[in-house]
Amino acid sequence: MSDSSLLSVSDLTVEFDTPQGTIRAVEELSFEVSPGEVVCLVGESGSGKTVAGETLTRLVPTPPGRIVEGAVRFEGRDLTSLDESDLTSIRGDRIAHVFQNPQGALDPAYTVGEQVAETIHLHEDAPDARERALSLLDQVDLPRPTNVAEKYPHELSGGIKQRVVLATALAADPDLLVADEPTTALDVVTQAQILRLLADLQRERDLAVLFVTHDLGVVSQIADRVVVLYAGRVMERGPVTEVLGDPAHPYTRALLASHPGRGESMTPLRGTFPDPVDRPDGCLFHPRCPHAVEECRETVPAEHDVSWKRSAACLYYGDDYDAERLDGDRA
Amino acid sequence: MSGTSESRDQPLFRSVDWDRQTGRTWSPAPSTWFVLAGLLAVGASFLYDAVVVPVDRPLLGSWKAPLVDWLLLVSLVLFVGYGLLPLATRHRTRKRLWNHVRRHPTVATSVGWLVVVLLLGTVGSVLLGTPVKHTAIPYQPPAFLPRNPYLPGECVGAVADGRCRGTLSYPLGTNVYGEDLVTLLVSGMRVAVTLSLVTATIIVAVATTVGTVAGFVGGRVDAALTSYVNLQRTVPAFLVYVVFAFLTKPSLLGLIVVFGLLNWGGVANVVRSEVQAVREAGYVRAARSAGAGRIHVLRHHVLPSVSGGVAVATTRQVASLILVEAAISYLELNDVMVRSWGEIVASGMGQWFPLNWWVVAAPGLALVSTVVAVSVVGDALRDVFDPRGVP
Repeated sequence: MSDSSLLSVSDLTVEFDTPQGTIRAVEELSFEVSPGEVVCLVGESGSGKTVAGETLTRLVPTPPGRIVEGAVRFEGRDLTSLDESDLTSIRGDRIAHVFQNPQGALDPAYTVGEQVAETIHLHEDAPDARERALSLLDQVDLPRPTNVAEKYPHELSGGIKQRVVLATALAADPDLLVADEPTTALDVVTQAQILRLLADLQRERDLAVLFVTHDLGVVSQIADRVVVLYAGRVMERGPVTEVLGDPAHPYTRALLASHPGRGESMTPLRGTFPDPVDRPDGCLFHPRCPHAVEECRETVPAEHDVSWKRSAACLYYGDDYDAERLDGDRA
Repeated sequence: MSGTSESRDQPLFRSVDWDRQTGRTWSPAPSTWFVLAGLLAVGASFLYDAVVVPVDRPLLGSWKAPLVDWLLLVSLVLFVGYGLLPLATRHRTRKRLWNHVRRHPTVATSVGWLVVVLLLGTVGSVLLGTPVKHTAIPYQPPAFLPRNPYLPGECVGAVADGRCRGTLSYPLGTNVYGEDLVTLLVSGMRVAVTLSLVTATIIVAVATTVGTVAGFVGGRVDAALTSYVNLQRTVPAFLVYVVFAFLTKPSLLGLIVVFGLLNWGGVANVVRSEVQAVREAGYVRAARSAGAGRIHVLRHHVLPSVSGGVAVATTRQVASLILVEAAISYLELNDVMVRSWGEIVASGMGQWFPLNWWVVAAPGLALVSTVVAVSVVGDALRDVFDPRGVP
């Protein structure tokens, strides 16, 4: 763990009790976010990326959720052991969240201006909350903020609502923004606008962002570093250009190959996502991996260094294997 | 998109009550001040009546201030403070309400009638006094209408074609005791208002508390409360009141208490399911992620969402309760000294019915129109409260 990190998650394991059995949503997850850095958690549905984001400030309801082990250090303080009142003073004020669906994130009973001001009021007695709310709505590039502020959510479009949600998240001037698929529910044009806005705000405020998404196109636009999750475990991590430009892990390769619009033919991932109650032994990806060998069924691969600042949880990158073979098999 | 008719250039933002959004310091809304002041005043008068004024002496004029009237006063304070004031002071709500009423004549008529009932029910008896018996002039017909010659009693108005005609001194006629029906109707309004408001207050208070706790806390608390509610809903309030009336003596207060304490189950279930839905809503998660505590979420995001459902479910109960009271009066299980509409109808259904039709028709019409109006207003409230609905 480096001293410079703002957020440091180590060996985080989160389980859910369901009638079908216990689900391990996140397993031994570790990653760091430094001030002013954008880190992307990437994965398919069910990869545990949302749970990972929500567990940071313990938004996951317990029960049925449960943090089995691990630590979430924010500026050195372990958030997993804080009591609820300390957490509420961190939520919104230091770590803010933006969720996927802007339709649901705003209370239909209040004007959006009131809702932006609500977050300000939650963390301080601010007589100037109104001006600050208007200024925030202006900062998220809303035309005529005074007009928008008095609208109710149902009177606004999805894109404008997501801007309001962003303004709400930034209201208390957080250090870390956890953005969980903030553009997924929007159309492509609006998506691009919101992404650009988010990137601008991130730069202006030197905000650290943990960006949770399944969309590799979005990742390439915004991320500094990427953490690829599969069924709750880290498959690969590293700087965005390297991971997306030259993926090391077979899963990352398959994910990229299944992504449309890269000029090559699109190859869907074969096989199915593992049953969360009955997960495969050994490497979680081995039933779908074209390179799987016998040892993959038995051994959970450790994260092996691929290059500087970059690692992949694949046996081929261990000392006993030759990673070149991955490319050989592929060709 | 709706709301485009708003004046776009004039910011109404000023009207937002920013102080009310405060999470840390407690700065009560105007309605809370009103309720606190009102309850203090009622409480002080009650103490004065109980401690200073001798038992048999009336508190004011001829008003002896029975317990049920104190309950009415408390309910009135709560109803005005938490029901009417918020509707009137919140700019947008008032506007929605006004738009809705303007577009729906049925709603406008119903609201108008309920306002009449509410006003006359609370202050009418003060203006008109209690019904006075004039045994010499029973069964005066309504103004200008003839009466069947078989009916007994002198004729106050003119006699034409051998038939007694009604006069303006008794616009709706008189009953068997020669009591003015207008005064009787107003006293019936008083009973209806007392019955509705006090029972509704009990139901809203208990049902909201139980439903919110069950829905918000969940788990074992929810299971325990829900099974109790389901058990209680199998107990028929009507039967309990009948037993109560036989064991003690029939009274309006007994009716209110029995039905208020036994009929909140359905409303509580409505509250519980709405709280459960809201608890999972994105904006509750968003509020929590912004640092809102449980109490804040409950007060600012959960309770406002259930208010519409509570209003509708409670008005249903109130409407049926007014009818139940009439049925109880007809079965002579009521306190005959309490002149409710049901009691007036029942007393008119004697040997001379239907020759004395007006004695039954006037309170019957009042009863039916009030029940219909309460239901219509309940539906209208749901439409207005649901912010996603048509404004």
